[in-house]
Amino acid sequence: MKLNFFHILFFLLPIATEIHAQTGASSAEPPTNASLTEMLNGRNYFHFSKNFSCRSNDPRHTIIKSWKNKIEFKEERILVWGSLCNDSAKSIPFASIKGDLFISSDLRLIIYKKQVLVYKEKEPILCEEGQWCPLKKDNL
Amino acid sequence: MSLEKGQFMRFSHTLLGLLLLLIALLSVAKENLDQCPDQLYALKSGIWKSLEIPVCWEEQTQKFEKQRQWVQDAVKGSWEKNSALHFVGWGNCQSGSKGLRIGVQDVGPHTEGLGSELDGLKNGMVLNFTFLKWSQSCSTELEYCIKDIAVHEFGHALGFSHEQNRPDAPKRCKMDSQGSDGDLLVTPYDLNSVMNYCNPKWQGDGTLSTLDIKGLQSFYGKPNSISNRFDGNWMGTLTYSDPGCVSDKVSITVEGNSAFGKLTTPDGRTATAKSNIDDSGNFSNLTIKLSNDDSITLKGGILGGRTLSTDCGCGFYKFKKL
Repeated sequence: MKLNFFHILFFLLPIATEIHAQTGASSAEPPTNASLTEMLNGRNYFHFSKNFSCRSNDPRHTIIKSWKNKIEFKEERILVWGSLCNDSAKSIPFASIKGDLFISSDLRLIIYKKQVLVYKEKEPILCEEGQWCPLKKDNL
Repeated sequence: MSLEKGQFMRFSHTLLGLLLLLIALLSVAKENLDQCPDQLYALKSGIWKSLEIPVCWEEQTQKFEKQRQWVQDAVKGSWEKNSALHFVGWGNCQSGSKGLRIGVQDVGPHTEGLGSELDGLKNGMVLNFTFLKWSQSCSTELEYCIKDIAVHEFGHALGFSHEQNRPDAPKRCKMDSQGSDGDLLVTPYDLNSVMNYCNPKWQGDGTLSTLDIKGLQSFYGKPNSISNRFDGNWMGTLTYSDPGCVSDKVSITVEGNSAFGKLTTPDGRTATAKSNIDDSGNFSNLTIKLSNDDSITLKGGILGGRTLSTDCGCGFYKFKKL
């Protein structure tokens, strides 16, 4: 998807409104790239899908329970993880993804390339053991 | 007055939220051709320009000394042994440390990108030395797991993507497709690659396959390359007979038989390219592309020669060692 003016406009405006509601400023100016990346820096968003699993790159190729995607905002970049088993994130400059990204005004939800992701302060616990949740014990 | 303003803002906020949702839904419905996967092998832009890559550990502690040594040994016996690469340093990271910065956590080992994308990135690579929470089966075979995983993760750190992500990978292997994709197929599909999740031997037992070595050497040279007498950094200027063309600055770093060129235009645009250079200092044509229809080619040697520019025609260049 190419950069779309309306996408930028509509994801920026609610944030700008929120900011100015807090500060009491009279005009709503969209935040700059720098302030947006600063606001989002360190935040992780997850997309869940029931029964989603992946094959881990461990000696037993264990099938484990997983979220379906994770997007991490890290300074000037976003990291797209895909699944919990992925060991090399896709690193994309923040400036190049704005046309594909919508952010809710409370920063709790994003839509990135058709996918809705929710903010989690901590890594989600997927089973009692935490994140290592084998579904099959046999090798594949 | 302020209450009214607050209410109005809340109302406009909700309205904008609804509009946002509507646009998102419309966007979802629309076919997006850019979603087509381009799963390949190496990420060209992730190839390191220098053959000497600094490595440091994030944790300022003597903990895990043995495990750190295993990692270093595994990398030395694989990627370093088969190329002109040298991973140097291996001490504790300082603020602003360049190169690979390795963190240790009990999570799935990973890299936050490919190749030089990791340069100076804090916790750009994360390794697991305990396996108490993640992949507990490794906790009883630590050395095996740590070494084999290190070889794989350093493959990512050198710019190599998962072999099973390639478009020519067998269907059953594509099921495991994940991670960053490359944009360059270097060798034929390789089942035995340490970068292939489908490898019948997990991580190829930490041993590079024949094709891994071939791909590695195409970017990072052969081991024990004789150093070139022109090794070092060179700065040059291109001049053209056309008075309307401004001189471009070009820098070249020579390392053994590799010459890495960087062109900087007067308006600040940059482009890089790599070529071979022989022991007499001659290039095998170094072409630096700013775009598909804007490039320069250097013909001659490091000391001087002729240049051909797509928009400025012919000219000449001179270099001086820094």
